Amino acid sequence: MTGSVLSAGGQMVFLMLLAPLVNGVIKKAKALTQCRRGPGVLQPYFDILKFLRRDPVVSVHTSWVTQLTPLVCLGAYLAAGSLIPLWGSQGVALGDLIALIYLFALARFFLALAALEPGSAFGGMGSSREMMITSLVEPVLVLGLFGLVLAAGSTDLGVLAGAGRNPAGVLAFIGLMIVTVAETGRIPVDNPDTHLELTMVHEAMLLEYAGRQLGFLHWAAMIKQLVLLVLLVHLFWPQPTGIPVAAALGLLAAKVTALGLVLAMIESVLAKMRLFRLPELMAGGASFCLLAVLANSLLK
Amino acid sequence: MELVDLQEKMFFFTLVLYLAGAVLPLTVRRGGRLPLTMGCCLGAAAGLSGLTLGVAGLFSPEPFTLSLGYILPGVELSVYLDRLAGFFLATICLVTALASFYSLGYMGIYPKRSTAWWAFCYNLFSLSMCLVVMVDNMVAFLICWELMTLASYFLVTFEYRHQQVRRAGFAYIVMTHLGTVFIMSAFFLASGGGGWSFADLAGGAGSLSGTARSLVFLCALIGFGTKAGVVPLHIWLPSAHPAAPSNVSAVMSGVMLKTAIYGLMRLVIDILGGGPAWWGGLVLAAGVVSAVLGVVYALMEHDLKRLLAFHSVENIGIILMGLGAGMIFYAWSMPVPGAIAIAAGLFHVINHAVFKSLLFLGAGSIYYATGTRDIEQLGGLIKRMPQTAVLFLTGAISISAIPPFNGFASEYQIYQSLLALSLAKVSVFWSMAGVLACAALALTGALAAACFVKAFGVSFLALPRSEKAAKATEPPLAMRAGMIPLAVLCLVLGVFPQVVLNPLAGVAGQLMPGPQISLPALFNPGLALLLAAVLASLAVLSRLSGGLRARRAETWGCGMAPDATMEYTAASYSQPVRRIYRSLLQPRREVIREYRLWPYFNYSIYFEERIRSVFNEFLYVPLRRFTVSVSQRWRCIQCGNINLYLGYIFVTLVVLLFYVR
Repeated sequence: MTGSVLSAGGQMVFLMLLAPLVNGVIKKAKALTQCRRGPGVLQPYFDILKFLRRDPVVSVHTSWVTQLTPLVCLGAYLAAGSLIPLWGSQGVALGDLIALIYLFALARFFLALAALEPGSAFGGMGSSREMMITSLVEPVLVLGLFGLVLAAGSTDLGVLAGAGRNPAGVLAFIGLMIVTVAETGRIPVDNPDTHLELTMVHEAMLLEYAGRQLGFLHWAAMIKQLVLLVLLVHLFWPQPTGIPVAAALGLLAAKVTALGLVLAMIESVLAKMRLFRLPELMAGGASFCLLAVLANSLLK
Repeated sequence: MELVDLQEKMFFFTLVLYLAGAVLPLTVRRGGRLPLTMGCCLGAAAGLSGLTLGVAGLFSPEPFTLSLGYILPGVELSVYLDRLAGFFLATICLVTALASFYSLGYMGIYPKRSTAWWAFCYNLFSLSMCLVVMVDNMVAFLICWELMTLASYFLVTFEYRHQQVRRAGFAYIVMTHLGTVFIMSAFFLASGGGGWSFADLAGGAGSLSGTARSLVFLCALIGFGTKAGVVPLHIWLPSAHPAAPSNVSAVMSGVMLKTAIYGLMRLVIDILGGGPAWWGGLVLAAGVVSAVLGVVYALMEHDLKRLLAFHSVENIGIILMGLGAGMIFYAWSMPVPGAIAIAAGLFHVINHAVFKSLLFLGAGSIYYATGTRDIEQLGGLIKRMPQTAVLFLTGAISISAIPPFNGFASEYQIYQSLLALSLAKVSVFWSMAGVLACAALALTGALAAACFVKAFGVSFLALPRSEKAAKATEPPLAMRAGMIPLAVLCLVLGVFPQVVLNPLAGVAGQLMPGPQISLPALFNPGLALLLAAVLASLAVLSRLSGGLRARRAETWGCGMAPDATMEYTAASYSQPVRRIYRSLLQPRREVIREYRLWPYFNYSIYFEERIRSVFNEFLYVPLRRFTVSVSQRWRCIQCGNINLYLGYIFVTLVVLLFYVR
C-alpha cells in the first residue's frame, strides 16, 4: 500500500514536471515548421511560474465554483495520470480505463460550469461548444479504447499495456489520434493559440480567469495532453520491463515527445475546421475505431 | 422464527401507519396545518418502518410470507417478501419517507384546504407501491397496480384548475391504462387458466409453448415499458411530471417507474425463467434507444421538470441495458456474468431513485423560492440559495455519471457487463453489439453532463435573469432536511458500492440459481481516496502560494457594463447539439427583427424555436385518428333506444347459452 501510494505520488510529480516541457517542444516544432523562431522549449515553465506569482482577478458574479474549478481540473487530470502504470505494476489498482475516461469528465464538468459563472457570453459559448464536441468525441473514444479491451480481455490498465500491437491496432490508433487532437483542443478542432471569438472553445472557457488560477488551468491542460499521450504510448508502444526507473522515464519522455511532434505536424498542415463540420471528422474517427472493433471480434 | 414474527409485526405496523396517514388528515376539520403535518409525519414513519422491512427482506435468506385471507373466491391475498421484493420495497420506502419530510415544507405553497386530499392520495399511493412489490398473486398485483395508477393520477391532477394539468393527467391515465391492458394480457396468457398466484404461474410456465412465452414477454415489455417510460411509449412522462407537485414527481420518477422494472423482472425472469437471447437483445435495444433519445430530448428542454422527466426516460434506458445484458447471459447459461449484469441494472435502480428524487426535490425548492420552472428566468441562485445549490449540484454530478458519485458506480458496472457480453465471444454480432452499446452509453453520459451543466449553470450561476430569481431565498429547513440524506447517499453509494452490490448479487442469485457469486474487488473507495488526497494537497499548495487572495472586478463585457441579457441562455447553450441532431429534432425557428435604418442595428428581436415531437406526429396522431374513425363507425350501434339495448342483452344471453351448453 505504501509503495503504491509513493508510486502514484511520484508519477503525479513526474507528470507535473514533464507536461510543460512537452508543450514547449510541440510549440517549438510548430514554430519551426512555420518558419518562425518561436519561444524556447522551456517557455511554458516560465509562463506557469509567472502566473503562479500573481494574485487573480475574479468576477464579482462568481462563487466557490470558480475558486474550486482550477483545483478540480488539475486534481482530476493528475489522478487520471496516476492510474496508468508507468513503472511496472502498481500493487493496488485505484482505477481502470473507464475511471480514467470519467475523471476527464469530472474536470470538464467543472470547467464548463466555471465558464458560465462570470455571466459573459464568451464563456457560455466556449462551454456550450466544449460539451457539444465532447458528446461527439466520447463515443469515438470509447469505441477505440474498448476495441483494444476486446483484444486484451480486460479494462485493467496494466493488462492493456501494448494491447494495440496487432494489425487492428493501426486502425484504432488512427481513430484515437483524431480523438486526441480533439481532446487536446488543437487544430482542426480548436485552436490553442488564439482568443479570437469565432474559433475559440477551450480558451473561451478560461477567458475570465487570471493569475494563479489561470496558471493552474493552463498547467492542467498541459497535463491532460500529456496523460493522453502517455496513454497512447502505453497502449500502442509499451515500455520495456525491467529497466531502471531513470531509463524508463527518459524513454517515456522521448516517446511522448515523438508523439507530440506528430501532433505538431498535424496542426501545421491542416486548417481549422468549421465547428459544424466536426461531426464528419468524428464519424471518420468512429469508422476507424469501428473497423478495429470488428477486426478484434473477428480475430479472436 | 423470531425474525418472521418481527417482520409480521413490521408489516402490519407499516400498513396501519400508511392507512392512518391517508385517512386521519381527512377527518380533521379546519385544522390549519394539522392535516398536512399528520399526513407527512405518519407517511415518513410508515416509510421508515417499510424501509426496515425491506432491508430485512433483502438480507434474509428465507422469503417472508404472510397470508391475509381470501379477497375473492380462489384469490388469496398474501404477502411474499423475497430478496427482489425487499430491495424494491426498501428503495420505495426510502424515497417516499424523505419526500414526506420534504413535503412538510413544500406543501406550504398550496392552499391549506387541499393538503388533506393530497395527504390521502400520497399515502395511499406510497402504500400501493409497497403492496405492488409485495403481493404474490396476479389478481392482487393488478388491483394494487390499478390503485397505484389512480392514486398517482389524482396526485398529478392535484392542481386540476389548470387546463394543462388536466390534459397531462388525461394523457397519463390513457397511456398507463393502455399499458395495463398489455400487462393483464401478459398475466392471463402466462396463467393459461391455472392458478392465480405467482407460484402457480411459475409452475405452469414450463408447459407453455415457445411462441406463447414470447408473446407473454412482448406483452410484458410493452405493458411495463409504458409505465417505465421506454421510448416510444414515454410520451406521458414529460407532461405528467411538470403537472404534478414536485414532491410527487420525485416519488413518481424516483420509484414508481421502478415498480414497472420490478414487474418486468418478476414476470419475465422469475416466473418465465428467462428466454432466448433475442429477448435480452430486445430489452438491450430498447434501453439503448431510450437512453440516447431521452437525453437528446432532455437537452432541448428549458422547463426544469420536463428536462428531469426526459432524464428519467434516459435512466430507465440505462437500467434496461443492464437487465438486457443479464437476460442474454442467462440465455447463454452463463449465470455468473448474468448475475453481475442484473445486479448492475438493479444498482442503477436505487442510484437513479436517489439522485433523481434529489433533483426533483431541488427543482421543487427552486419553484418554491421563485415560482417558476423555466430555467431561462433563473440565474444566480447559488448566492441566494447556497445550500440548495450544493444539494442540486450533488444530484447533477451523480446523474452525469461523474466519479466518485453513485451514477458513475452503477454505470461502471453496466459498462463492465456490456463488455463481458463482447468478451464472451459467442458471435461477432454480440461482440459488436456489446461495444456499440458501450459507445451509446458514453454518448448518453456526455450528453447528460452537457444537459446538467446547462441546467445547473443557467439556473444557479451568473446573474439572475428575472426579478423572481433575484428575490429568491433559501426554502424552509424541512425541505433541505429531506434532501440532505439523499445527497449523502449519492456520495456513500458512489464510494462504497459494495454495500449494495453484494446483496444485489444475492438477489440475482435468487432469480437464477448458479454458483455463489463473489464480486471482484472494486476500486471505488481507493479512487475516492485518491481524488480526496490529490485535491487536499493541491488545496494546501494553492493556499501556500497565496490562497484565496484575489481582487474582485466586473466581468469583461467588451467595454459595456455586463448584465443578464449578455449571458448565454439555455436555448443558446443547447443550440450546437440541436443543430447536430436536427434530422431527429426537426427544429423550426421563427425570427422577427425590427430595425432602424439598417439591418445591423436591431432594436428588437423576437426569436422562437420549437422542436417537433417525431413520436407524436408519426405514431400517436395517426393512431388517435384511426381510433376515432373506427369508433365513429361503431357509434351507430349506440342509438339510445332502450328496446334495442334490451335486444342486445337478449342476443348476448342466447349466444352465451349456446356457448355453455
